[in-house]
Amino acid sequence: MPSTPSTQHLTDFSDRLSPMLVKELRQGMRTHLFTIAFILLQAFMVLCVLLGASAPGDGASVSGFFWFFVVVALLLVMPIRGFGALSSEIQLNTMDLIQLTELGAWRVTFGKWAALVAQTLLLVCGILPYVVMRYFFGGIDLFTEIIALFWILIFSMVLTSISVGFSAFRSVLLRATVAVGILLANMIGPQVVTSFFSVLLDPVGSGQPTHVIVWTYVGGLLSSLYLIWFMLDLGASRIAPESDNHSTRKRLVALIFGGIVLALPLGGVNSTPCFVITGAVWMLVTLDALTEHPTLIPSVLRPFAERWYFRPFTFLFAPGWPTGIFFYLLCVLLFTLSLGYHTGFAGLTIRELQIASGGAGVVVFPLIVIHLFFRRITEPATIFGIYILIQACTAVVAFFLMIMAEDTGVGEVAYYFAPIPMTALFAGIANSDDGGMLVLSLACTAIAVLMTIIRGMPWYRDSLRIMRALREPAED
Amino acid sequence: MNDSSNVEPTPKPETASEENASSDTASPPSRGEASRKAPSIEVQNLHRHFGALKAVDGVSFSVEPGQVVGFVGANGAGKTTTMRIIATLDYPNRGIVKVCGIDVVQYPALVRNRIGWMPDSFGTYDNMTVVEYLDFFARALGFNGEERADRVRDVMDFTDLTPLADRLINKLSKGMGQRLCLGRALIHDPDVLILDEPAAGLDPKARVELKNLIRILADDGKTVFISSHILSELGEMCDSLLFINKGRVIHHGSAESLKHSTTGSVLVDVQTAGEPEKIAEWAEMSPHVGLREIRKKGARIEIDSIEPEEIAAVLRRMINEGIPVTEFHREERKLEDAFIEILGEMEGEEQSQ
Repeated sequence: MPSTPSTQHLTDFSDRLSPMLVKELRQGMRTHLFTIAFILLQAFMVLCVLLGASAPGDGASVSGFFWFFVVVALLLVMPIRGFGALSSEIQLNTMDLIQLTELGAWRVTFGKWAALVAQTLLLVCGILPYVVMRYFFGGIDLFTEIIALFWILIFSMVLTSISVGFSAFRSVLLRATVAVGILLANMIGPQVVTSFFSVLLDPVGSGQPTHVIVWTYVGGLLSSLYLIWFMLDLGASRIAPESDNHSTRKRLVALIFGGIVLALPLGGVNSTPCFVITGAVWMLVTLDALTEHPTLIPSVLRPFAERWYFRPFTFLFAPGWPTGIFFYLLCVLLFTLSLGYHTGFAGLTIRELQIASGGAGVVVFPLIVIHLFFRRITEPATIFGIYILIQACTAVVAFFLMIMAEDTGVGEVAYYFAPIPMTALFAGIANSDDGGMLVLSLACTAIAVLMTIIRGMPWYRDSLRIMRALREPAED
Repeated sequence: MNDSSNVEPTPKPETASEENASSDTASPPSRGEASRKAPSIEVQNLHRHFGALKAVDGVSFSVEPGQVVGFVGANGAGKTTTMRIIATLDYPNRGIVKVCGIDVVQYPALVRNRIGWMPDSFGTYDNMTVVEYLDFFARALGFNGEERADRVRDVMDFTDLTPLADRLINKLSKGMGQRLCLGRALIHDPDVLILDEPAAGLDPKARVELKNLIRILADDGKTVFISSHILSELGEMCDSLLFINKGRVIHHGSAESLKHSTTGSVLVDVQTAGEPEKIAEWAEMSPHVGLREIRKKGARIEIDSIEPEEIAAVLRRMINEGIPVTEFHREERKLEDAFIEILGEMEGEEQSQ
């Protein structure tokens, strides 16, 4: 049958591309926002080059102007577009239709992200000629600028993954909070990178040995890749049907990632960022694990029931917060052991312990509030939103407390709020060295853990019963 | 502390999970073995609760291959929830649901290959044409290259959307949109079509077009499970009707059986060339005939029998006794009346209990 003009073009596009990517690109390239951003950016780039060329040898003077537009386009406009990615599908009632196809939740989320990144790459391709022109007419260091553009692109990809991941949540308040977070990241990020990771932007001028530069680059790229994957999977797990198990993979990958990053100091990389990155990643994963909806769907539990040596891992890797609490305890144990190994157990100070226990407590503290006051809420997205809001509130309280304690010199004020682990964490970061605060923080953490385990009892009991039922036909 | 409201999974542990777990087999059924002699849709004791609300409360029925079954019920009766569970978009708290012999909880992916789902809300995309929309779903269903183009072309031809191929979806009328939605549901040539309120909001012409398309699909051997509020249309296109109320099936039978009264009598509309009052006088004198209503050109009478011979004998008597009958038409009960009647009977039973 000959193709009609309308259907002729359907086979000229690569079938290897994700269907969601093809769809999003078709739609995305027609949106006004992209077209306007592209044209405006081109106009500003021309302006910057002309300004740089009008002051020969002093192209650096317009660098701030040039990079401002690059940052706004790549780190603000494009990531912000991601907030509508999954929520639009939910609002348009098309998620059910997609769920019935062979597109899994991950491919949907990845396709959305990839389409936005493809458009970002188009913008970068549009910027590159102006960077080269700035080298010829403005006298700037081309190598440094290209490296900076590369990391901006990576950072844009990370921010886009965050916005796409959070677009699966219906709460406008939560998405607004994340948008503010992206804005803050744009303001603070460059300072953090230039202060702590200057080797990333200027590897030659940093004076570091080659292997440190290589490992830092590897660590930076690995962390970015992991964060992108995690955020996209977070979104995917929230739109996936309950029969999809995203948790096991997410938790296992987090453990492997943490293991690799914690091993980097053995290659000469500074251990502090490694612990900070692993701690942050494990906090994120446990946050997700502790707010997941528990499921007892047989197809999810079947892989755990099939082999006797898999069964104990049900309580670590099966989806849901009742297993999330044990996964959390495993992370805390592994982190503490690594910390002790690298610093020497005897060498750990009260302050370091206070930071570690505060960090561990921060993750589980909201569970006390959730289990006491929001027991009737079962919607995972709502629980996640409540969790984030509690964290935001405790962070604000702890922050003002620290300011008060610094201004008045009254450290005991902090004691009233010491059961909030965020306070202990902030106090530890602010050079507090207080054993009492450490004990209070640990006690609060233990209560949160115990409360969660007790509330998870019915799930533990029922999961064992279902796994027994799943095993019986095979054993018969 | 032991309150399991937050732990309560879907489905509840002591019910659906165990039922499905115990009915589980180590490997999924093959297409042939699953569908051999199996009903297209089989629902056994289906329960779905949302907190205290029992959306579906022990529904059981089956639909044989090639049948068109209408699913009727008031808003909130449990139609959409049942259909969503059959379409693998929701999970039962209790009960077993199979499509072509395949359990929807155990093997949702296999079931999805067999069903075409058309929801009550037509999900559209901005900045996308008709052909791109169908192409996207064909890609998402795993069709590549020329096969995909053929599928898209075929459904566009079937739904008569070829002239609109390059039109943006948000510029389509409601009727065109529904045809597009039907085309999307058909793109992988499913055995079972589940259509939730497909005729809602359509103008009469679009309704007739949709009805014709569904009839063609049924003639092609597809099983169609369709919900609607417009009972008269369902009656014309469905082999049987399934009435649901408050999450329970209250009737399952053919439309023809519903159109006939269950009281053992029939209503007949008689038109006469003479004075209508003569029919009234005649009816008063005749055994087994009662007058219901005098009309402008005739009357409505009730005959105490449903036997065709008895009804024919009444007509014969009227003519023999000099009534100038021009029309003698047996009235059928409207499906809406049947539904209301069955609903009333059920509520009466509930009150007496």
